[in-house]
Amino acid sequence: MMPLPESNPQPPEGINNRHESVLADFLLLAGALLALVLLASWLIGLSASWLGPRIPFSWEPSVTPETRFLSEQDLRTEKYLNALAARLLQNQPDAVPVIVHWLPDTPEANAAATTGGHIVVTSGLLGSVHSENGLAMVLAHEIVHIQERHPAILMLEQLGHSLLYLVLGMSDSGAGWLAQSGGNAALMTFSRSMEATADRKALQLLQDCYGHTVGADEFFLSVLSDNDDQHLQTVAGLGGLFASHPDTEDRLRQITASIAGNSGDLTPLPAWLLSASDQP
Amino acid sequence: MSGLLIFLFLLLTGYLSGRWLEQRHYRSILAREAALRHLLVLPVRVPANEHSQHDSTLVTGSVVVSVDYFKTVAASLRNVFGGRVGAYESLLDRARREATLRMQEEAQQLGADIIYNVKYETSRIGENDAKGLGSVEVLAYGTALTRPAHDAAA
Repeated sequence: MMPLPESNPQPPEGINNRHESVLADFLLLAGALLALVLLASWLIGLSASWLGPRIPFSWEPSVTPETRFLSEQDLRTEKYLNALAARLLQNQPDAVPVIVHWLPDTPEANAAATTGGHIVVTSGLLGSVHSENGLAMVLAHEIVHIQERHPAILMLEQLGHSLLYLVLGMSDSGAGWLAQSGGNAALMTFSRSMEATADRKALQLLQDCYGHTVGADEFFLSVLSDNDDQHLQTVAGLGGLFASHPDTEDRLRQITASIAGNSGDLTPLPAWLLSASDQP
Repeated sequence: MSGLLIFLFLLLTGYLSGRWLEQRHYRSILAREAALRHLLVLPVRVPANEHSQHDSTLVTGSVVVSVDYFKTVAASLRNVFGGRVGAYESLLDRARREATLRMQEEAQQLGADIIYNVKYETSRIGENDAKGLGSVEVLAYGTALTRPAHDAAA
């Protein structure tokens, strides 16, 4: 046997562990991943925006509210809302058909468009507008979403992102979380762009229907005065990076600019509708 | 937004605490390695002639080290791009050297002159499948040779 050493050697440093800066490595990789995801999200968004409107409307899945019990008054309200939607669309050739669903006993003021041409309006919305014009603006906004095929585009974007994360092989890991945050921020940018388009075109629908856009700001003024725009997710931190909607004040500015120099009489809401909305 | 803040908080906490603990651990490792340098640790199985009459005893050194949140995220980023996972290399380097030191410390307490046939085993601990490394155990074991009792008395 070879002679024994006097002592154990001092293990040389830097072979098994290079003692490199983990932080620099992390920042480089995180930046590269975010850039990759943002680029992919941008491509997905562009592809979805191109493909969405080309998918036959009949292919969209019909997403409707759960079975609701509607009183006679509720059915009358729903009929009125559908008639209002039809009036808003009367001058629009080749319009995609829309169906409005009334959600009684829902205090949150909200409206939403889903795939299949369905729009949901909550009873709380009636409390946040003073005229039919205010209600029509919200309804027109959702109608534009459907006409522009935004629900289908959004569905394609979400599908694209799910596939992206699947391909990257990221699920419940820190990198996965980071990538999904970047992807969500990109998704929300497209979402905000859709909302801005919906606001702009909704004003045009109001102009065509009533001859003016007076009253279009009622809902947004109500939201601001309530200081409770959480339901619109407009305030989501980091300068609205993760917000699905543009800032309410910015939207209001755009709408106010459209109303400026515009004049016309407000159309009152039907008296029976107001009394119905007062009921608990 | 709150999710992002929690993520950044965990990341920062993991980085700062992990870095502090790692630096402290390396200082301890270097000092103890210097102190135990005289107690030879060899991978060979057959003892030298001078140890042929010694008594043999199994000695072990085991350590469990947990990875911090920052390193888990850094390593998961490496899973995307590939390459050397430096975040885990330092963890395993510390774990191996610490396990060796603990084995040497046990041998020293037994009055051993030398440790032969040193081997290592590594295993992952905890319910951390698909969530990164979690905790890692490194076991170092070998045969410590001590002078026979009558020799030691003489």
